[in-house]
Amino acid sequence: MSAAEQDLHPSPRNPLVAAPDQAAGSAAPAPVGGLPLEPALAPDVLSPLQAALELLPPAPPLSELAAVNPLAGLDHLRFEDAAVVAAHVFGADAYLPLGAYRDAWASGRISADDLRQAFAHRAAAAPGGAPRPHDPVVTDPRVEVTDVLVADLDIAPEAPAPARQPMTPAEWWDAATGDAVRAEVDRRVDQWVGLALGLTGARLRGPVERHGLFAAWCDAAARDRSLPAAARHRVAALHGAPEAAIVEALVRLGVPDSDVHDVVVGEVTARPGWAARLAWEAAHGRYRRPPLEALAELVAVRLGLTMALLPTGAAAPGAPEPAATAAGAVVGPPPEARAWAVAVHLGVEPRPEVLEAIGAVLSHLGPERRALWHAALEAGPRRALVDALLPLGTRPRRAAAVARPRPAAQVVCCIDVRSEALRRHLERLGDYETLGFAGFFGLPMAWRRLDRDHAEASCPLVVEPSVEVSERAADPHDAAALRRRRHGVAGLASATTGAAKGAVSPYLWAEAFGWVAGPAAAARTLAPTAAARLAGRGGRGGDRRSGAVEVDLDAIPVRARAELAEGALRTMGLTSGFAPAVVLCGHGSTTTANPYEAALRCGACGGRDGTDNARTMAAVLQDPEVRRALAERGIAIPDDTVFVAAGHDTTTDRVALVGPPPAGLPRRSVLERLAADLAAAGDAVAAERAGDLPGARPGSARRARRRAWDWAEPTPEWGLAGNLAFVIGDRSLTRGTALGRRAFLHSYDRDADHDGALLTGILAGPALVTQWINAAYHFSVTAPDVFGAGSKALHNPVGVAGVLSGPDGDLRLGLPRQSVAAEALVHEPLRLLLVVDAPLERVERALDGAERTRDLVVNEWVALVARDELGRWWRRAGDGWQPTSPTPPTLPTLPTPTTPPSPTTAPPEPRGATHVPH
Amino acid sequence: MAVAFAASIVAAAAVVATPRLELVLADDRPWRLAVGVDRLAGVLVVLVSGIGLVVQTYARRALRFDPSAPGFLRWSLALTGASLLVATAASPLVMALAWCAGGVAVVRLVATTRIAAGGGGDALRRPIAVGDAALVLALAVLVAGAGAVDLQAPGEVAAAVGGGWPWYLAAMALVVAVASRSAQQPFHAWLPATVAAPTAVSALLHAGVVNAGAVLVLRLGGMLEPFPGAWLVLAGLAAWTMVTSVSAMAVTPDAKGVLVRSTAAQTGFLLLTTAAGAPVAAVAHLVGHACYKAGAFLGVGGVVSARHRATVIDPPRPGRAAALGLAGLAVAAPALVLGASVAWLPGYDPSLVLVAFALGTAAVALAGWLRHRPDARGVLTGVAATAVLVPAYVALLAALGAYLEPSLAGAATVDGLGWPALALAGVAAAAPAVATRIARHVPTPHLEDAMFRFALGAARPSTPALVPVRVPVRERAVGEVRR
Repeated sequence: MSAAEQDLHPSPRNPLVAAPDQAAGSAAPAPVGGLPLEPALAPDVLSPLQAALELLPPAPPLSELAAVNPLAGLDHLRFEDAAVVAAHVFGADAYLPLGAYRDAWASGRISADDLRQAFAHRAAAAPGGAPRPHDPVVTDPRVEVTDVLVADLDIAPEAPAPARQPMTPAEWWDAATGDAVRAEVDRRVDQWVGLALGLTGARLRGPVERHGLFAAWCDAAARDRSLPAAARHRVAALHGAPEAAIVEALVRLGVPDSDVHDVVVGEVTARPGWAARLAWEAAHGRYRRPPLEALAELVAVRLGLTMALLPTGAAAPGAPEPAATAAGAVVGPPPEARAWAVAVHLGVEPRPEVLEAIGAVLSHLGPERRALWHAALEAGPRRALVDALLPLGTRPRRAAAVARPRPAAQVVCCIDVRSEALRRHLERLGDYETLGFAGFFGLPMAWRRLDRDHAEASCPLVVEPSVEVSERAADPHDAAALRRRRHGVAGLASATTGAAKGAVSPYLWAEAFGWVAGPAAAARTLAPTAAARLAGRGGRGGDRRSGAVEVDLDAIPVRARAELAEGALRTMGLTSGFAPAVVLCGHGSTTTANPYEAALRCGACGGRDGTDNARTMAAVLQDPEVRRALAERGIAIPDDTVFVAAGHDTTTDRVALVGPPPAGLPRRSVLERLAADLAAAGDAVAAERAGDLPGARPGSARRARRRAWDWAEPTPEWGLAGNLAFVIGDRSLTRGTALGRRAFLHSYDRDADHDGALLTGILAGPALVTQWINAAYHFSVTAPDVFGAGSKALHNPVGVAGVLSGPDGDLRLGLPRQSVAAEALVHEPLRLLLVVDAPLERVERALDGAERTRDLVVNEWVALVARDELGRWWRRAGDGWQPTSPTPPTLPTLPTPTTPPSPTTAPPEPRGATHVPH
Repeated sequence: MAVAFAASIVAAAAVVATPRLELVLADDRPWRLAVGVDRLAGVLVVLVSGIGLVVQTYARRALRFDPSAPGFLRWSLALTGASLLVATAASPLVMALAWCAGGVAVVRLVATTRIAAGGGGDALRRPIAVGDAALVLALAVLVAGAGAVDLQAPGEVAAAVGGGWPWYLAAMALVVAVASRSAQQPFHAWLPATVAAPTAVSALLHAGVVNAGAVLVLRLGGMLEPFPGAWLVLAGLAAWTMVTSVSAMAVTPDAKGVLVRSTAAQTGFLLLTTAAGAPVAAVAHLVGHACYKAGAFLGVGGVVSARHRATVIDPPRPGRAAALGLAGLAVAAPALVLGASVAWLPGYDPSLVLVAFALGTAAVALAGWLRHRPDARGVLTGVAATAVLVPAYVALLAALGAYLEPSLAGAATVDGLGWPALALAGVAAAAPAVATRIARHVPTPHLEDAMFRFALGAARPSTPALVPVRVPVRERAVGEVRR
């Protein structure tokens, strides 16, 4: 998340920010343009900068890429309102185009039931009465609610795509005169921001490092021959703190005070990619300073350049009127006209009472009709998913299963959607019990590989690492040899990079190495798998797999280890009934020449391979001292239970145990059988996936696997595309159901968590992460130009910071087109559905403890359904709960419980239940 | 495309037997249409069709479902065909047609993708158009003066050239054509503009387009022979490009931009090598660099995984004496091996400055290795690798020289230009890097700032800044607000 909580600390270059112990106004302000400016008259640029900082999405670099919600700064607003703001500020659409909904209705993708359900949900949240979805709107001729909605969609005018409103002086000028000043400003400033970020290839960034972005730019621009002399003079007049320069530029441009906020926010959001990366690097990366200061420098450079290029006072004229149909300002026809048009389209005589009834229906639609239609689009798959879940009592839940004989093994997978397929196939192969848990296995750790000198965080983006874990040679005698081998690899890299980047060496190096590189490139294109095997990459992680390298836990004291272990086991619900083998399966991904490779790896580990966390937790749980401490805390692990780690490569679907067989294992065959079953399950998953991948043959696991090594393949795997729901509940809810790799699955035992603390934890953490993933895919589809990264063929990586499309432009945010679409759209932008198998009051209490998730639910960024004691599913709507499907009048008033009702107690009434009257 | 590649292999092999195969389509002088495969053309067609095959296979997957895919297929075939014709052209008319066709294909290839801001435009079309026109002019003078000369017969072009100002004009026009297609200053802006096209296009450009300038020099160098001034201009432009491109690389953040500017510098080195009268070295550089860059472009997305997989450990710190000894070894070992291989391998006569470049490269590589492995086994491995790889490379060059000898026997040179040209290359190559190192270690902030500004200027494409000075808006007094 962006460092919005960063303090504004006074710096010597920041005279407009008074130190906290100084009275405001007692500090002498810097004179601007020769006139001493009193603080009261200086336009406030800091609060718009703060607002802009909050608007920017968090933008981690490619090396840590985990999906983030690009509108994370707007999730305190209702989804529809956030859509309006996003359209204004970024030009980003939050819904599909109108034609998509028309096609969906025409093809039957949206059914009448879906439409009614969406309408009921919307109407229930509105104050006052609402037409019931099954009642006819007009009785003679019979007109249903659905007819009105469809007619309204049919006659809706084609709105132009949302476009950013002109907010900056350069944009005003361009709109008024037809010039391209904004493009020029963008082009020049992008290069400077790239230098400030300290990216590979840009080795000569000394001035930016030394003086900061703004000062370096001032100095260079004042002598830049490609700017006209007048512009250079104007730039030379700027100096001092960025905030003072902003004020001076605003004054020179003649921007009225009322527009200052919009101008500053507009300058920041004009290039959201670069600005967001700059803010991130300022908070966490190499350009370390308060993010507000970095943004102030950016705005100062942009406004300074605008001021230099435009004549004085050029921004004084009023902003051009936004087009009437610009997005955001969805001003449709007045309600009466709309109702009248619908009536005419339906062929109904527009009598006053008819118009009133139709108007009542349309009033719930609002000007943005796509909001309801999108909800209708979501209704179908959501209902199908909930219907697919096994009813209460079908299979005994975990707690009740303790009395059963132990399963052959328990496999703990990440909540990732791709694990769902693995778990399904594995359970078919033997008596395995699978659980879902966040892929970092509860370890907020920084991981130091054996061949690295520094540690990298291996936990979710929102968690700070608190322990450092490293690797070491399992056999101390091997340490020297391993070290020498690592030095050899580094030596080879140093030789080749040194030759390629030296002074006189690159010329003959390119020539000499080219004779090798050419055939290598040919091999990698024409026969990728063979080339990879030849290069030794076919069997990755040899050392780790064979156990020559092991985890070094010495940096973590035993008590800390025990705490981490206990936390993980309790959240998993694995406190008793341990199987002889418990496998912790982390997942990673293998792709070649893919700048977005971190997006395919484990998001819970910050875009890294989760196998390292699995190995660490397995080592912790194998530690006898930890087991003793756990026994003291009430978790008794039997002596014959072993914890092993496994790694699931989601591109090749190879699942293998990692590390040497644990010592003292009485039955080795258990592990061998387990390894064989894991590999077979992986093969089954690969065959299942092969049909979905573009260009692969259905059922051919080999062709699906080849994509991991193919550098020309833009879609090596679909990753998390198609994600639909996050199911929090026991495996008895989903066992055996084919969810099509569309659901995140987290284990949760509703009978073991009476105070709701575990549920609160799950809703506060993993639910937020999955919503971010869902939103990243959503906006990559609906706003591909702003929050999507375009076609991979044009991608031009900028160090590890991000990608450009082509030689210049904005740094791309979001996911590339080939991650969400093949020939047609593959990922439907359906908002996340949280499915919680817990009583409704407990869910309410847990939401109170997880405020951010609560806001997301209330503001309709996610939908939440929960199951009560009788097994009925209720959806959270407004302030209360609603049954998930509006019951048509022909059904009896009380739904038949699916479990034998308890004899004496009546089903408890959910708090604030909104019953749709039958 | 696979067929073309196979055919080119066959042709290159056939040409080993007979030094030249010619196909005459129309012998109506001066409109003679003839293509031929001689030794040099054999090497070039294998290169062009090989890279074309790899890039097409790559594009079939990378551009799957991309709207630019049909356009790419069409124009990449056209470009490859044009490049093949340039390599095998035996008459001026064919050369002119193929050259212009290649230019058109490049522009159309980049236009298959429409990016909102960028996408070629004038920066792409103008230098290419200028180069095309210049070549047509030069060839027109040649044909007017000497009829349809056989471009592949060694020495025939040089024999056909006369004196006087038309030939001087033709020579300068040839220099312009070479410089423009090779993305040298002042025609360097078109190559960065091609980054707006898909990766496959960038890779394809290095097969035959960027090299075409050097091919032109090798074939038509005879037109420059009587005019050392033209050679000097060419050498000067190439050296200047080397300096500016390397400086621009230092302030370019994007990976493809770095590769493109590096290409400009490498092509400058290539032209300097041809100007210096070392055609075999030039051809070796042409082929090697083309393969290197094509592979680099196709794998440009691997920047992130390279960083992710890289082994990052501090090199061991040997004592001062040991460090000095290792540094000395890093220079001495390649020097000895290089000297020995050059002296004992028959038939290879490299110019001394090229040898200096080779020594520098080998020394830097060996030093990089020894930095991490200063132990005994590391030293042995490094020296052994040098002792194997360096002579192998020299032998490869010697073999290439022997193969190409019939075609390049009459390659044009200017007496006395060899040494200065390559010395210029050395200075041009070293200058930016040396200056950077000085600026970093000697506390001269102004020098670094000046270099920074120079590099920024070099990195910016030369499209003029858009300044709306012509719009007649009255300058308002500050503070007036009109709503």
